[in-house]
Amino acid sequence: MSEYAGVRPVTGSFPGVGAFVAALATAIALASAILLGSGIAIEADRLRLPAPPKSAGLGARVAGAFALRRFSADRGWIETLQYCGDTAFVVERGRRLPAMSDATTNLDPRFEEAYAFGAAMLMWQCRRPEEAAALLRRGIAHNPGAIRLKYYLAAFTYGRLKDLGREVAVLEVLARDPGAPFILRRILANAYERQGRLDRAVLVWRLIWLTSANPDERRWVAIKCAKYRVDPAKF
Amino acid sequence: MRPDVAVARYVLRLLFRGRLALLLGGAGVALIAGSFVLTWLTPGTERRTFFDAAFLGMEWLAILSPVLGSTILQVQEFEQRTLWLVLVRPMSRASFVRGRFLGLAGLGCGILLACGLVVAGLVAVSGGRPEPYLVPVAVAALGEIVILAAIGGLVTFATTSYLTGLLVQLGIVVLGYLSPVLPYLAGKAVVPGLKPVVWAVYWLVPHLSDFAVREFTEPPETWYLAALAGYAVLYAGAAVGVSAFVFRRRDV
Repeated sequence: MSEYAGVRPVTGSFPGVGAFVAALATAIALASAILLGSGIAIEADRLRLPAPPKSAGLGARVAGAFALRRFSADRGWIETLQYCGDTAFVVERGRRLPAMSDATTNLDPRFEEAYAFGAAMLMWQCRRPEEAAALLRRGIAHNPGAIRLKYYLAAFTYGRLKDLGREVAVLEVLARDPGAPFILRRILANAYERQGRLDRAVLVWRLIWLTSANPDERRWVAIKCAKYRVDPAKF
Repeated sequence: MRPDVAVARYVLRLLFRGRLALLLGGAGVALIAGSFVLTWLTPGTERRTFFDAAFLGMEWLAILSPVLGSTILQVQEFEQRTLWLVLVRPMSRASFVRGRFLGLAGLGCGILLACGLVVAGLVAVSGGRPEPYLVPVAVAALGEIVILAAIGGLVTFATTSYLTGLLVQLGIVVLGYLSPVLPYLAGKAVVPGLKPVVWAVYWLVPHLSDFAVREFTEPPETWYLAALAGYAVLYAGAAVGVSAFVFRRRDV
């Protein structure tokens, strides 16, 4: 038997059963892929980083369209770090830092370090507390579980209580969260105390007393209550 | 040896001989080394910077290897007429198409495997904890390789010059990444008849943006990866089927 036996002509022949089956299989595969692709697209939309705001500019949109947002955010982060190490940062009192931090976090709203570092630099190095607090508030909105950002905001609020009274309102929302850390509630209670709003401070102490099993935290509440002749047993 | 496997080996030999495999492998090592160097610039976020850059490099290699591979094959087979030497062998054109697909996919998988091992090795050597995105990124990149290897075959059989083929493939890659935007554009279409065309493009182009799992806020679950793999296999199967039909009708 010739080695060419069984080889079909390559062109010009009338399509046989095999060709029909192949065409049918191809059509079924394509239809199945389209159906499966629509399901995948729904889940991918849910998992993808949130879309950048309209103010983010064309660069962020292009980076988003080509799945380059995290890498572009890293590039923005490197530029931010370089700027903070530059003489211009000191001379300009960090004038460009809020915009750089915004550009980085618009690309990747989950980039906690960019919020924390940018806010800390704005607060302690540049004396720009409003911009620092705004950056942190945005970071907390995008990362509700980011304890560090809440700590930072609490610390800023406490450190700048006279200038940033409205930040106490933000702390109140954060402290109401069942998972709020003790230090955040403690800072809020101290802020009330410094403002002379003892009734509010007592509410926070009560909250800590009733929800915490930590002896150190309860001792702190007991000390505070003793100072103002409040009986924690009546909470 | 089965004709498909023989053609796959032939394709791989051609690509190795043309130094494409060496070039892509070198690019992979350079990208991973570059990712490592970038970490020196980002104290405190070294891990994030490294993996973001390394994963991006792996994905780009996954895209480039089938695209460049099929372009080089088109130059050698169609424009330098080496295709005749293969087609005189006793095999059907469908076998040739399948073998070519297997060869292109094999090249991409080999390069991706090498890059993945280098990344995993670097993490292990540096004492870092395992990266939860490594496996999802590798699976997604494999899916992209499979899809683009099939598309590369289809495009090179359907076009007459390597430049056209390359441009068409790059266009498909761009459209694949822009696929989430296409329904929005279809909704904005005002020219009569444009809306169904945009929707048809949306359904027909591979949804490559869904494979960019490194951009997800959390690692995808196993079922998502399985769905991605299924989508890649089905899509590639359809593309190979159409390629076989196109090549059967093509007069070389």
